[in-house]
Amino acid sequence: MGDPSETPLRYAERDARSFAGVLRRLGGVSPDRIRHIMDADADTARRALVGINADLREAEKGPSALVVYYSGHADADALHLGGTRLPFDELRQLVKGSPASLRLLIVDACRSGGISRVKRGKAAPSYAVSADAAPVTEGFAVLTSSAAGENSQESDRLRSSFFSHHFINGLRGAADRDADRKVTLSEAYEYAFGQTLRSSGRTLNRQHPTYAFDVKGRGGLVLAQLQKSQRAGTLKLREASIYVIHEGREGGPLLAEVSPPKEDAALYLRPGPYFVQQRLPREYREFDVRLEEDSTVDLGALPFRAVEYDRLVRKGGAEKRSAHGLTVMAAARGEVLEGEGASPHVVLGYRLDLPWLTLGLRGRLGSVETAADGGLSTRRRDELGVGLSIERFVDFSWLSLGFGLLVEGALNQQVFDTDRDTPDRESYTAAFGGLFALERHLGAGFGLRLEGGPSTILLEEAVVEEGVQVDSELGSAFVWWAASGITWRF
Amino acid sequence: MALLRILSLLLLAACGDALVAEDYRAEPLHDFSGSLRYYNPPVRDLLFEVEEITRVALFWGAAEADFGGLVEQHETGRLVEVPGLLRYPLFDRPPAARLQGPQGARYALGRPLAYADRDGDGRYGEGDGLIGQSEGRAVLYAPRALGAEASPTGHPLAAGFTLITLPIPSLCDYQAPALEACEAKLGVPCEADEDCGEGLCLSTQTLFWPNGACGAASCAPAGAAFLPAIGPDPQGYFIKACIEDADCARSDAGYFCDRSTGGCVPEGLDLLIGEVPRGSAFCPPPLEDVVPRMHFGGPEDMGPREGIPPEGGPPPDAPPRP
Repeated sequence: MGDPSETPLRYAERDARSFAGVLRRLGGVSPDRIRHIMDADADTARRALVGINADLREAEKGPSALVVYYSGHADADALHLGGTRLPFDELRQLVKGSPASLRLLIVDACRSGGISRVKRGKAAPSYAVSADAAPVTEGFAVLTSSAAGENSQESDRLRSSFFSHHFINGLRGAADRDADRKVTLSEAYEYAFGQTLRSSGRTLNRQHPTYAFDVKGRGGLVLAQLQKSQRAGTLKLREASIYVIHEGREGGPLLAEVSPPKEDAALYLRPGPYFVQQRLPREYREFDVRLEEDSTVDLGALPFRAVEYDRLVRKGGAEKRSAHGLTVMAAARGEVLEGEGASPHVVLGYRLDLPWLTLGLRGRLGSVETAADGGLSTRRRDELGVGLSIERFVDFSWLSLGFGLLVEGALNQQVFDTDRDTPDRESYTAAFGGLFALERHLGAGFGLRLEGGPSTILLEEAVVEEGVQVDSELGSAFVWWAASGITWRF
Repeated sequence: MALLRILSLLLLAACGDALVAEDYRAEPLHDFSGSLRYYNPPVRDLLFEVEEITRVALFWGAAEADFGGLVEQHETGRLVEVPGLLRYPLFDRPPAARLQGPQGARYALGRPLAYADRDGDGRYGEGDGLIGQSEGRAVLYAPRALGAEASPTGHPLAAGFTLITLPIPSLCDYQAPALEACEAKLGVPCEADEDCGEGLCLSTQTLFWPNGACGAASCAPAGAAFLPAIGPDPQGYFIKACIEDADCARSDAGYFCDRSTGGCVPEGLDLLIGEVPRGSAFCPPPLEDVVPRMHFGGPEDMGPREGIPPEGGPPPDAPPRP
């Protein structure tokens, strides 16, 4: 809780417990060394820190570490604790002044960059913090979730703040860039920085986590050791893409959204069932995973369900709210004018898949030639049509069924191959009818499409007597048509 | 309401030229209309063929040719029903080989004839038989317009097809008889001779004259045109002269300016079925007896035939002349 006027944060306490859990399971911190301070005021927090420092003084000499993690409200100068203030300078001094040899302060709050003295949030390239630049055994380090002038945001979808979510998942293994099964402070910061910037980039407020390291010693500051003895299961992620992990099954609580920096990354998670969604450019791959204690599951070796983008859009719940597609098909249509017979066509289409329906725009080109009697050598009718379609799809495991309506207007041109006086004729027709479709995804965004249906065509027809047009009338032709071809979604 | 708007837009979308199906031939170069009727009496052994396989086509030939010397333009052929209305559009010009006359004044002369297409090949050939002819009419085709001096009829001809009456006075050497002058109202509608002054009311003489037309036979009104008759007495009739179709226009019936005689005659191309055409195709000789040829008017000893009224006049189902 911050000031009374401030909106209570929904996930601050959860983030704190998650961080504590990671430190316990992967950081080697025993539970009795972890103290949770929830909904406290400044005085309570102050006394707690003072007490911890006193305990450290009385403890045996030797390397020790103090890690303080805060998730809550703040401004440019102080933490907001239950209507009271704990100034950054005081907090910094309480932690930096601790007798622990290594002191780490992590603040996930708005404008927390004031603690690290980093004020401006400029977009920075992927930050490479070299953990090998200097040996680290003691000192003071500060990590903040945003720069001094920036807000830190929570995500209802992640059920966490952006920074804490990515920092914690980084400690779970997503940040292990050198695959040495250790996640150092610099690796964790680098990973959290990149992912927080990506996540916050979808909102109006970009977030740039900051750091201030004043440390020295030997080796990197290891925050998490990814070993099998930690009663965790290992999930190997072969490809470097975005993974969304839900606890239990599809639709279960979202545990993590990770984007490992390289291939063959590993996450160390509690044993149990998980639903993992891998987001690739053309499709999502969905896995049902069960992790056992001290076991490894290689995601790349598991069977998966490929969900094309259009199905994702219809399914809902994904980031994509629409999918685009192009279609090319060969078609045939029944007889429109007496004596013509069926006619072949080529159809090119664009479609927009939305959650509830699919809209289509298509162009059609066709031609039919008829050998005529009575002195006319041949008669040919060329057709150029433009149509709009609206479809509703029902997705099955290996097939999608669509049904809808199609309306179209077409320009027709009749030409005659004869020496007789037969001027070319140009006419517009209109058509409307039903549309039924079958689609099967072939992979890589491609799919096979079969479609067809009835159509009523409105046209101006000549009234002929003894071979001569004597009048014209608005007529109609009822035909069946069918088409097959390839779709490509992007 | 939205559905009505969409339907309205769809209806508007169906516009432009009308599309044609397989029954369409072309834009006609000329469109004749008339009727198909039986001779009175028709030759009995032709009746079966008349009812089954009668085709009408244009046959072209020289001015002096007889029927056996005419050549069919088979593209003009079509099956017809007898009796019935005749609508006869022409889509093709006659072949160049059918043109005659001097260079610069070429023309083709043809007659619509009916034949029994016994072999069913759609052409007049060996084994097929002529069974009818156009009644007192021929078709003249000129590739280009001809003035009176260049025209074979002695009257100006427009380019294309023209319906003319037979016999053609200039080609068949028919001369108007030298008769006394008289006052007659030529060309006006009439019901009796008294309506025409010193002339007579033409109704069924030589041609069928819808609503009558005043002419003269026993005297020669000044400025009249001469229409040769098929019979020897009279030799012909004096009718209203004309230069163009507008000179013959009547509000009550269709008349046009005949380029053969230069006079106003009724429209229509009628074919008489039931007798084998013989003799000269374009210059029929005068007949000894007039009556048996004509399907209307006849001697008292001729019994009524189906569709033929006993008292003369046109058959009751005969269509009005356009």
